[in-house]
Amino acid sequence: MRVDSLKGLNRLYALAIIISLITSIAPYTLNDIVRAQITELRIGMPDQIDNFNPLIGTFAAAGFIRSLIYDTLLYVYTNGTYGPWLAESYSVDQGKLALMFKLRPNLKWHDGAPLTSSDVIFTFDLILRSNYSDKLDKWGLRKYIANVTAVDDRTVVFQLSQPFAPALFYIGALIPILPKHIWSQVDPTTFKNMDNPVGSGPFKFYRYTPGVSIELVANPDFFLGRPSVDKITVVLFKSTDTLMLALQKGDIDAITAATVAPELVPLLIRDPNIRVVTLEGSGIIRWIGFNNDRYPFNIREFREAIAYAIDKEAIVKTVMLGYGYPASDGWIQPVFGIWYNPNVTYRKQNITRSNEILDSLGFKPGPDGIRVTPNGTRLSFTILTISGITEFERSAELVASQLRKVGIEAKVVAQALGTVDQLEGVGDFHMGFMGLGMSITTDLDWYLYERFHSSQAPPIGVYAPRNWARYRNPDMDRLLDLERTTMDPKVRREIIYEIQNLIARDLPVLTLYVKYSLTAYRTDRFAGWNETEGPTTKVSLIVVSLKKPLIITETATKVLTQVQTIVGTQTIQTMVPTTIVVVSTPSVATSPAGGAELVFNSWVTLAIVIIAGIILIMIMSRRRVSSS
Amino acid sequence: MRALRSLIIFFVIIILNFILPRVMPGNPASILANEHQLPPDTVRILIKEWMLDAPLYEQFIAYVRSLFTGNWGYSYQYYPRTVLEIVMERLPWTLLLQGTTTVTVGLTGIFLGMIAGWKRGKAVDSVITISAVVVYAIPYYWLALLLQYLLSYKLGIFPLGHALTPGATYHSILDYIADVLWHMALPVIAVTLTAYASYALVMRNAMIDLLGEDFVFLSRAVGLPEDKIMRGVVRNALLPPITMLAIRAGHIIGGSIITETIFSYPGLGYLIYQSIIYKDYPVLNAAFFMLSTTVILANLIADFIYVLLDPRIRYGDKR
Repeated sequence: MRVDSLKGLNRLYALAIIISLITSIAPYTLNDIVRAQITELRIGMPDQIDNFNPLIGTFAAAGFIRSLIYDTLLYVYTNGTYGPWLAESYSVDQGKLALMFKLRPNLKWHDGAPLTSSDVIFTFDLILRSNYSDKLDKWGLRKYIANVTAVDDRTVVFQLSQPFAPALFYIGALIPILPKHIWSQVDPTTFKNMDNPVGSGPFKFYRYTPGVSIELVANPDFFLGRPSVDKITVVLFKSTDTLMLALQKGDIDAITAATVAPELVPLLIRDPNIRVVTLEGSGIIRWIGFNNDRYPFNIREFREAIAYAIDKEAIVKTVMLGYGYPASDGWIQPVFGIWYNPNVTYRKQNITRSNEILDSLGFKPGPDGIRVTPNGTRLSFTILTISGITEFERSAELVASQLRKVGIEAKVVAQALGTVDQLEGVGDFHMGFMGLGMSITTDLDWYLYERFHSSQAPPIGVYAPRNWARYRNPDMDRLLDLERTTMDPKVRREIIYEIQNLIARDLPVLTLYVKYSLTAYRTDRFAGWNETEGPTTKVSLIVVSLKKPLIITETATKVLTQVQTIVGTQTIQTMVPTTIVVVSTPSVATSPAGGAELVFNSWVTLAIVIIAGIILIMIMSRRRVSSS
Repeated sequence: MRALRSLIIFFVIIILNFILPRVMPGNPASILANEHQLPPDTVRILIKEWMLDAPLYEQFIAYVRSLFTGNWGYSYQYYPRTVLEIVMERLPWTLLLQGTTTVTVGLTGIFLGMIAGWKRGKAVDSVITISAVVVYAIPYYWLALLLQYLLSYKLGIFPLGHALTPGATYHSILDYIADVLWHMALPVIAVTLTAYASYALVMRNAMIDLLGEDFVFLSRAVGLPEDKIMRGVVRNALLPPITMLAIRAGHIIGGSIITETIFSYPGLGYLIYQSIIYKDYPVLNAAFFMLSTTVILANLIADFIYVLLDPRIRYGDKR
């Protein structure tokens, strides 16, 4: 069997040329199939799709899809108020510990079936009182909610067994209402719900193409009216760089998460069609958790000395390029609006003060400038952080260099997420540099109880999920228990203020800075984006429409007034915050025109010239050698 | 004998696959819980569900059972989806992209190496050799980003990424194929550009070695036409690049993290990368299982191709 290899190669090569020809022609033949004659909004997000089961799904990206398909009883706005959603009104009876929700009339599921109080009861019974409760009641709500009953087709009453302040958040804003006629047929703990999720939200599921996109279409029966856009195509990206490039190119109109890196902002805003916005009511906090069970971190004064040694403003300026602000020492940050205690701020860098405290503790400088404890050990520690996140490593390095100035040696150790999680959990660390997204749309209890209650701090060696700083203070425990069980928002606010005072005093963790939640969207194809609530939130997407100015303003105002009147007419006993602490948008466009893109271009040109030059020189020299 | 050896290697790999992901520190349940703000109660439930608190031998039995029966178990990250389901979503794309690049890289490298070797010392040789070295020296991710920026973002010839146009409706299968090819073009070009060089250089050197052999001298003396001589030389020079291609083909399943990440191309590489971060044992076990299986198979196949290419090579004792 003789193969004519050269001819065979030639043949294969011809095939390759043909394939490449086809691929280069392809774009021209594709033009008509790509853009269909419907209004299609494109949103880019990370490619992390686990499932569309809202009871067990974990990934935030898939959560965005789940939130567009499924509805909750209420909607939390970024000023912290609970507005009507599936429920047109609600009331909280603090005396009887009962929450009453009245559904809107004529609600429908995507498949046409009516949505009634029986669906609400089914959903909560599934979580609180079924064979699956162990897995579905992740928040331990069974302890607080005694029963759920229907007064009529549209009215549901939740009876609490004991005072529970975050009840409205869990019942109204967190748990999505599921269709009984579908979910009673399945095992909710293993239901993937990926073929045809039926919900009640503004957009219906249309198709999922793994690794490429999820397509949603407008729900004509949506209770606030059919959304303006016919279709939303959620495009899945594996790298943030490509996601941003797609936004700049116009392949996508918006991005879901607050994933805009500060250094990208000057580049993005040079495009007049791109708006970069700071999301109100949310921010990403960076902090250092001390190992409160380990000497000398168990000394409050020592932790305070560290706090005085650190220049938070400098970190914001150098690492965050100004897209953030120094964090309050009281853990709860200004993003939480009325819940933030304005009297609690942060300790400004004060090297003298820091040195004084360290001296008074008896930590005297050794021969190499590093302080030594009374029993002779050097103050040399590690700052544990997650590898692969440049911001973490840079900030941690900066902290280390600042600590050096007061005679404390700190080495940054960056490890994989799993390792960091394990080391911190079992208490095998000195200081842990971590990050956490904070949003007012989540009840504060979520950020406080599990992180600072001593019941959440097992001894060293036993894994602690949240309170791995191992902070134990009976005063704090008392305040946290009170915070959880105080239904009156005014009283609860005083308690939460007190908690902030205590955290700022004790410093079990040292908050460093809050990073702005920056997001971006394009303004050239669609208008009507709701910047206050976030361009890709549900309330924004139902009013966003193709650019026709007249229609847009009408829809936008209509929906907004509707929301406002309903809020005004009902008797809500929960507090409605009036003042919003808005984080001011940072001044952008500080870099001169030109910026990163020009630099990139000149680098490319330079590289090509150099490469071409080298090739030329080498060819010439080789010719000479071979001819001689 | 060769088959038996492969079988033994296979079983050693099965055991290693089980041990390796589990010696990394950390607990998958708590990683997920931390990353996604799950309450501590969920962690306890997950640990029980995933048998993470069970003795190691029980976990091993469950692991072996899941490998050979059914769906390879549930993925931790993508729970409650099975590993088989997740892998099958991505496997066709990985095979398509990696298979295509293996062919293009092989063809380009061998073809250019052949020409360079045949015309050694001439200008063509210099251009091919030096450009190969230069391109080989460029970091792959940089070249891929550059191509993406220039060809896709600036010129708009190719899409930025993905395997298909998001949200497109196709009128016929031809539209679909055209779309797939169009999206595949840029990754294929990028991979080919960075990977062909080693094949070209190996092929060139093999050619040059063979051109000095007596049979070439003899063929010329006899007066055989040049293309006939070239054919003979090329056939013999193919062995080293074919070996390299076989090794490359074995890693097809592993995908390419960088290509998939930059071009948002669906594939197993990114899945494996994510699974390592999240310590998704079932996915890692399945991926490494498939990977090692294909590597072993590819090597077996390469051995057989040698027999076809070079009559001097024989296995076994038949003489």
